[in-house]
Amino acid sequence: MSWQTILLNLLIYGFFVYSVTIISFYILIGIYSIGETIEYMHKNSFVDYRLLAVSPEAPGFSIIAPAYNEGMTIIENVRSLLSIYYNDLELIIVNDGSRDDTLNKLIKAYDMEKYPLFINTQIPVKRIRGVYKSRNPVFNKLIVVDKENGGKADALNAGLNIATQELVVCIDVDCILEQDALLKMAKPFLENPEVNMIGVGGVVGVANSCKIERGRLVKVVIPKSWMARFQVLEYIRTFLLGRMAWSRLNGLLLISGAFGAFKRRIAIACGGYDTKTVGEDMELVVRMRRYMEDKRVPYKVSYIPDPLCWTEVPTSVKIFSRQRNRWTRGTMETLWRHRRLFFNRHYGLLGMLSYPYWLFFEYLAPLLEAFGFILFIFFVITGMMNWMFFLVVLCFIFTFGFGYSAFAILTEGLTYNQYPKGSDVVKLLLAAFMEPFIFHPLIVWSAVKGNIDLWRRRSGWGEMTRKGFQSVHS
Amino acid sequence: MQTNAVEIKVLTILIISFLPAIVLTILFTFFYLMFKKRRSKEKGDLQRLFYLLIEKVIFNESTIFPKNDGRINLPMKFQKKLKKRFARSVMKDVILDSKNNLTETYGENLQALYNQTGLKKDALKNLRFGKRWYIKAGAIQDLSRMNQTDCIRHIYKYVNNKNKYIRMEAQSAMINLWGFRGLRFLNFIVHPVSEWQQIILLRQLSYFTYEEFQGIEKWLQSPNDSVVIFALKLVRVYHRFELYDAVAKTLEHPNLVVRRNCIITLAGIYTEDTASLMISHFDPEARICKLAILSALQEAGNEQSIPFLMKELKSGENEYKLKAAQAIVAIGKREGLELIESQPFSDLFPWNAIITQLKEETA
Repeated sequence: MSWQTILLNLLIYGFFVYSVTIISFYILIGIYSIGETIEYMHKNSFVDYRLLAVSPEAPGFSIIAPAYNEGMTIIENVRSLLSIYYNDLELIIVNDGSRDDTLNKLIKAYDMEKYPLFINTQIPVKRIRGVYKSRNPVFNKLIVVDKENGGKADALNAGLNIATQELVVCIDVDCILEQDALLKMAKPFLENPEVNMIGVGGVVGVANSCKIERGRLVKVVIPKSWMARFQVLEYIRTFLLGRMAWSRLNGLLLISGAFGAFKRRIAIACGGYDTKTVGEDMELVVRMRRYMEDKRVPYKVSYIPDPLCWTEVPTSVKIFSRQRNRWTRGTMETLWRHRRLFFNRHYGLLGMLSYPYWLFFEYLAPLLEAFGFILFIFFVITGMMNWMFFLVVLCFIFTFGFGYSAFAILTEGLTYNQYPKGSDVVKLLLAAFMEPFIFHPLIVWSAVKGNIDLWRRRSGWGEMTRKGFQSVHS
Repeated sequence: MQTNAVEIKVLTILIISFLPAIVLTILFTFFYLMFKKRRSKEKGDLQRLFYLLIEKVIFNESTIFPKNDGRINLPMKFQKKLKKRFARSVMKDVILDSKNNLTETYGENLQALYNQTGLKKDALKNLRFGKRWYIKAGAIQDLSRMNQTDCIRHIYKYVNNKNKYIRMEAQSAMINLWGFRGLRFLNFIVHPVSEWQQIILLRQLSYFTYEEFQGIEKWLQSPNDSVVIFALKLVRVYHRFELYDAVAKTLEHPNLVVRRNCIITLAGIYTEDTASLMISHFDPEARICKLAILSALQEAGNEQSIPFLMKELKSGENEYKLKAAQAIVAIGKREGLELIESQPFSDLFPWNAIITQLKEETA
């Protein structure tokens, strides 16, 4: 046997073992996740959330929403957040040195004036230029913080310093929250006396093309853009078939930066958001978990499958690619920063399962995929590999991918059924069919580019231009 | 060149075996959506029909109550429909929904309907023989919402059930059916009462006219920490001033959450000794309890507390400083603020910022 054959066999069987492991993980996680979602729905059928809304014993929430150059939509966005159904609530909008008229619009629309608030700077942040409160008692929940530009993490840290409530919800200012979102997020913090619930994440839904009135989502519609449709499918897979299983195992490493709730004291105790990474959401969760593990305090990070938050996803290839590039860099930075966790028994499930899974199957998967694809093509061209074998492998991957997406669509129908029309399902199935040819290569390319950028030390978020929700403009 | 004939064969078999599974998944998705749509329409039709029946039941129509003896003469078409499990489930929801929106007088007719349609029997059967926790919990919830007081003994068995959701429903049902007397399960439960459950129980108690209830002293000494916390909340909500001494003893409790709740409760039923008691416990306390004490002193503090508060204002961490300053102002009003302003450090940060905020708060 020549060395080329040995090398070829090693590569082929290496990829084969990797693929079988990742497919097995997907199947196991998917099944485990469905079990947890169904259990959650049973539990939820007994709950009357209105009790919490009126109870003086309910914990208080501070919503922290950083805003940077959001002048076009800020008034509507804040109105939407102010209409959330919760008794003990404060809404902190952090104007992160916007270069547009975000601050002026807020001051004018909500009758704000400078308020001499003492800020207990527990996490260092860029200079705060002023804190504003409304003269109008109707808006007494609203606090606007004006600060020098320091990035999203810095703005969130400023919010953490100012927040007074026990629980904080960190969200993107342009997200639309369901009216009962906070009631549902509060419950996991209250129902487990044995463990310290440190963070709760919720499903983020795709709001593109949905009907929105007065800052509220009134009808879920399948997006018109194919790019957004692919992302609907991806979100269904991620949230319904993934996160619930990790929540059940208490192995969640990520709570989406678009919508997540945390215990304020613990977030502050472990230093708040890291301003040096673009993946500050994942990094905070990993650091909070590590902090609790080091202290040997029982804790949990939970996740609820209700669609509580809606956001506009990018529909342009360029912006989408930037977003995924950033996510890759964020993941890599977090994994590198916490490399001590890797197969470290001291950190239990976090070190032995969650971290390695993220490293091998979330971070490395697109890189290995790109590498494997190029290598296999090279082998086929040079005649080292049978082209028939190559095609069968591709067919197998495609069939599994499509089958997994079909299963995710079925799960969505069986649980929350947000896309109840047959035509919606057809559109999602078509998206699942086209995804491996259009969307998936884009994800792989963005991930590869993210790595290249990271090695070249290119940081930053890149501009995220949003089109705005339909009703905002109408 | 390698032919990989075996691998190709294996992968082809896998692809071929995947295909029917995918087709089945897709077909099932469509069938399920169709079924759901049909069920939803059927449910709407049944709801319309049942609401009409309930209207007649509520207004004592003679066609429904022919003998005026409280017995319902259910028309044949309803009897036929109610043989199906789905229709009974819709009927149950309609009755429960109507019950929520009606006064007690009308509720009695609905109870009669609930009993005579066999829904009560269904619930009791589910409670006894249901294998899944949500079947049992659902049965308890239905019986409770329909005020089936004669089922208390069946429900009481479950207040300490090892399944969290069953016992939560049973505990809520006990309060719903028995008012303050229903709290007696606190005497012996060994499982924790979650904060969520405590909120539910307090809310349910608020629907009843307050009556003196016994047992709090015992609950304050319970080996179950969550029972102690709940008892402290009961003292706080129902202003049970006579239990002050029993509450004060829980300041020595080993559980931090209990102590924190004790401090909050003491602030609600304080006497002239409360402030000094809290201050004497301040130094060895955990941070969270220290903050609770400083907040409580805004209510329970007095002039004797000022030296302690001044000490915290001067040397404590920033959060303590702010809380201490707020307590001083709450106790001494304008003079309190003047006292802080007269301190030599008042021009320095953070005291100057705290003073500016306090001025704004008191303006």
